Parts: sequence; structure tokens; C-alpha cells
Amino acid sequence: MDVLLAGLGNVLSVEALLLVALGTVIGLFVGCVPGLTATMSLALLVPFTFTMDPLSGLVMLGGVYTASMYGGAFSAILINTPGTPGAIATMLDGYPLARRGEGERAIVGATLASVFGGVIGFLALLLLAPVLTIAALKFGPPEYFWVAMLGLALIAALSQGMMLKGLMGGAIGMLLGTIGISPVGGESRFLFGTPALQGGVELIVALIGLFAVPEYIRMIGNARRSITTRQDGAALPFARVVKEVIRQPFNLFRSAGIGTIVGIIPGAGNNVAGLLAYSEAQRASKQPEEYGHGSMEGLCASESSNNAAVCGSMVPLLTLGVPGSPPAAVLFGALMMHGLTPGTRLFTENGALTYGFIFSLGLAALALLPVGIYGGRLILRMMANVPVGFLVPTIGLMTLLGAYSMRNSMVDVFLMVGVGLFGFVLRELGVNPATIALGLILGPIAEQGFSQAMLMGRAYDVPALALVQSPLSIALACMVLFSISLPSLRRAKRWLATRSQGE
Amino acid sequence: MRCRVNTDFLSGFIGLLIFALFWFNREEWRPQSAVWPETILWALLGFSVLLVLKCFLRWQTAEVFVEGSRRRMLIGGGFLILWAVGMQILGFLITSAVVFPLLFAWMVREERAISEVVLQTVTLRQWGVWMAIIALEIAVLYFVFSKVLLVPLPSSSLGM
Repeated sequence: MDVLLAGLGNVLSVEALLLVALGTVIGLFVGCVPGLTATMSLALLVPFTFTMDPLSGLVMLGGVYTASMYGGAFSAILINTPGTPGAIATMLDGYPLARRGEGERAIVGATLASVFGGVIGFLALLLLAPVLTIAALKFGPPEYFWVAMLGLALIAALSQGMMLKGLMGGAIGMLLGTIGISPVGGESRFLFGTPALQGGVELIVALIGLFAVPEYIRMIGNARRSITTRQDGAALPFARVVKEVIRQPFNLFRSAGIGTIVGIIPGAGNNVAGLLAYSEAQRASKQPEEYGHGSMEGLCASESSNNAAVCGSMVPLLTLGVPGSPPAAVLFGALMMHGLTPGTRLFTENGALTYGFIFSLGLAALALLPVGIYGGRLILRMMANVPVGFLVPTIGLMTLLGAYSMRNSMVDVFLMVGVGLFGFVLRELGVNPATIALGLILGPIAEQGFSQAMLMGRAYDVPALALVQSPLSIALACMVLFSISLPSLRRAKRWLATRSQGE
Repeated sequence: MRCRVNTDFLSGFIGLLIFALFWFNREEWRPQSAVWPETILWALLGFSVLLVLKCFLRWQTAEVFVEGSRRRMLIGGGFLILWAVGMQILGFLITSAVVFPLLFAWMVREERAISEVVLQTVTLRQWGVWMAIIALEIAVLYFVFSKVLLVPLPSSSLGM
């Protein structure tokens, strides 16, 4: 308890609070520019923290990490392009809201849900880290496979009435995910004579192509902005959105819980967290048909979850020394640079410092509220007033720069343009680009889990039995089956209800 | 001109093309590396064939590319390709300094043609201000990416 209070005392200094604010602003900028990643910004900032005392350095880096995950929501809502992969589910409902003139409502809602998710994740990290670590250790290859499958079940929801096209989109995405070095065999696959493809298709490059390029073309086609603002020009009453968000406590708690749990699973990341929470929210919703057309529930589920995953990914890092995500890996390096070795001894030998860092993550989550609300309103007004003649070339320039900066490669730029034009045509034909993105995100996780489980299953007569060998994997498999069959069950229920009314 | 197509057939056909592209680019991989992509390929083939068959069972056409002008969309796509190719050959700065103002000027012309809100006459001074803003935007992005984020942006043989 003493170290906990000492940690809180450390982080409540003026210097630490200013660093949290600075980190939040930097993170917000990084998050809302597609192509700038939290990992990149943290890696660039780590050397600057070398001269700072350990807590100050870690506090700033924690602020950047937290805010960059949230910042992805801005571009997702305003230009239909997730600034970070975690915001992909945010985009599904945020952008339709912005298109019908409710961009401010979407931004405020996303901010409140992000703050909520961040605070829940922080509390879980502070109070339940040891328990969560045990849960993380229960996730093996079969469980990873089923988690990916659970996310892929979202395809059914994303392709309402066009299931075959949705499944085809998912398969194309998964196929794109197989390009590069095989995760188990270690062989190069589908390089098409281009050695630069050995690193695979960079997720952000594909996301920029699939979502930003069609938006750029659509804006040119219409020669006007896609989003509009309120006709009367008045600011949206803040209290109204607060009420709207807090009226869905189950959604917020469930999504934050999913985010925290997915965050602690090394390798899953906040993109999986957002997608899973969105899928579960839709399944539990009384208005599932609104999802994808501007549902506040869907938006809040995604944001609450992907922000909770930030603190979740800190659990294995701080307790086991296993980074749960690429940004956490950079933070691992930062901790080592300051002479702190992540692991259980971190809490006993450097307790005040460790708890100070944990508290700074909570403060960073709270700092999103003022920074996000004012920053969001500012960006929205800018988007609504900048002439479309400026907006279109700026989006074009940012897509090219964003794709190039991922690996400093022109191959990525051409890949982005190709995927973008291809995605635009497919969208016109009724294939939702989100299904391709879903396949690309979850395909490699599913493949790794599947292949490793099959290797484990060599001990059995039927290797596939390795996929259902633990209670957790069986439970996840049942959830997948339930998810897949739910739309059919709902249809059957509706049919029975109509039939009984007819009689 | 209206553009009505059978979207099931076309998307199924594209699926088959992608299947062929990947299928004929397979190599001699060990089973651990081959099983997953081959499973996905078979699934893609199945979905694509079902889509093609569906169109024969129930022929339905739908209008595509209805939102906005198709001419503008084509030109916009062309600009993006030109920008990417230009970056490869001439570097980031020169290409952006040429393509950005061109795209801007064309968009202003197109916007004026359809909107009453946009100024119908643009003075030389306004053009000057806009060009200065464009130059500033490109310079700031160049500085942030190349000097702050240390991204080595593509350069031309002139070293720009």
C-alpha cells in the first residue's frame, strides 16, 4: 500500500502532469495521421527520455501510447480511414454518423467511451495484474485460433444480405495475409518476383488503400466534402452525448472487459480487441440492424475496447516481461534503458516507480477527455471549412506519405494504390472492404494458432483434436459456433413469429 | 451514361482471377507453410464459383459507380497513380510541387462547375494565396517526415 501511495504521489507532481498532457497531444497527432504509428513515435521519443528521470520518461511515453490509440478514431470518423488498426471498428459506425452531419456527436461519444475504456483498463492493471497474468498464460495456439475465428464471425454481420461476397472478401484478405514469410515453416510465399514483399503486406498500408483511397476517389467524384456539420452551426450539447453514452453501461463494461483481456494476450493487439467487442456488442444489441449505419453502441464498443487494451498490454509486460504489442515492446526497451527489468521483481524492487507509471496511464486516459473534445471539435471544424480543392490533394498526399513511411519503400506506395483502386471497384460490386481488412488482420493470427496447434496435435491420432483440448478452447469454439449460427437463429425466430401471427 | 452490371457475376469473376493469380504462384512449400494458403484458396474458389452460379440462377443487375461523376473518378485515380510514379522517378518534393497544385486547380474548376457557393471568379491574388498555402503544406510535411521522423523520402537525381 505504501508503494502504491508513493507511486500516486510521484505522478501528481506538476512536471508529471505536464508530461502527461504533452504526451497526450503528441499521441493524438500521431494517432490521427494514417501511417504514423504509436510504435514509430515511441521509438523516436525513447532517446529523448534518456536524459529525463525514469518516471518522467515513462510518464510521457505512456501518454503518447494511450493517446495514439485514441487518435485513430478521428481519422476513422472524419475521413473513413482508421489512423491506427485498432480504430477499424470505430470507422464502421463513426463515418456514417459524420456523413449525416453528426460528426461531433461521434467524436464526443468516441472520446467518452475511450476514457471509460482507458480507466477500466487502468483499474484492471492496478488491481488485477497478477490474476490477469494467470489468464494470459492460459492462451495457447488453439485459443489464439479460436479468438481469430470469433473475430472473423463478424464477416456475417458486415455483409448483411450479401454473405457470399463477404466471405469472398474475408478470403481475399486472409490470402493477402499469407504473403511473405510463413509464420511456422519460415518459407517465402507469394512474392510475385518482388523480394520487398518478404515482410508481407503491411496492415496500415492495406488499410490506407482500402479506406482512404476510395474516400479520395468518392470526394473527387462528388467534388464536395463527404461529411457535413450541423445546419445551425451550434455546438452539440455535451450533456446529451454523455447521457447517451452512460445509458449503455453493459456495452461499455463488456467492451472494456474484452479489450483488457485481449490486450493481455501477447500478439492479439487492440485491433482484435475493437473488432471482437464490436461483434459482441452487435450480437447483444436490441437494434443490430443499426450497426454499420451509424450506431452509437457500435462506436462506443470499439473505442471502449481498444483503449482498455492499451493497459491490458501492459500486464504481461510489467509482470512477465513479455510485451503484448509492438508499442509495448518499445516500452520494454525504454524500461531496460532506464535500468528497470520488467518482471515480478519490478513491483518489489521499484514499486513506487512502477505504480507511478501505472497511475500515469490512468491520468493519460483522463487527459483524453479535454484534449480529445477540444481537439476533435477543432479538427471537425477544419474538415468542414477547408475547401474541397485543398482537402482532396491533402488526403492524396497523406495516403502516399503514410504508405511510404511504414517501411520507407515505394513498393508499399504502389501496393497501397493498387489495393485502394481494387477495393474501390470491389466496394461498388457489393464487397465490403471491411471484410478484406478483417481477413488481413485476423488471418495471420488464425494461421499461426492453427499451424502450431496442428504441430501440438501430432501426439493425437487426429491432430485437429488439439484445437479443442482445453476448457478455454472448447468454450471459445462454442462461442464461434453460436456466433455463426445466431443470424440463422434470429431469422428462424422471426419466421416462426410471422407464422404464428398469420395463424 | 448508366452502368448496370451483374455484381454477383463480376465479383465472382474477380474472385476467380485472384484465385488463379495466387494458385499459379505457389511453390514447393513444406506442408506447414502450404496448408493454410491452400485452404484459403480452395475456400475462395468455392465462394467465387457459387457467386458465378448464383447469377445464372437469378440474373439481377444493379447500377454501379452512381455516386458522383465517373469521369472525375477516373481522372482522380489517374492523378494518384501519376503521383506515385512521379515520386518514384522525380522524388517526393518535385512531384508533390507539380501534382498538388494541378489537382487543386482542377478540383477548384470542377467544384465551381457544380457549386454555387464556391467563388465563380478567382482573382490572381487569391490564386497567389492558395499557392503559398500549398507550398507551406508540402514544406511542413517534408520537414516533419524527413527531419523530425527521419523518414528518408524518395529523392530525384537532382537530390531533392
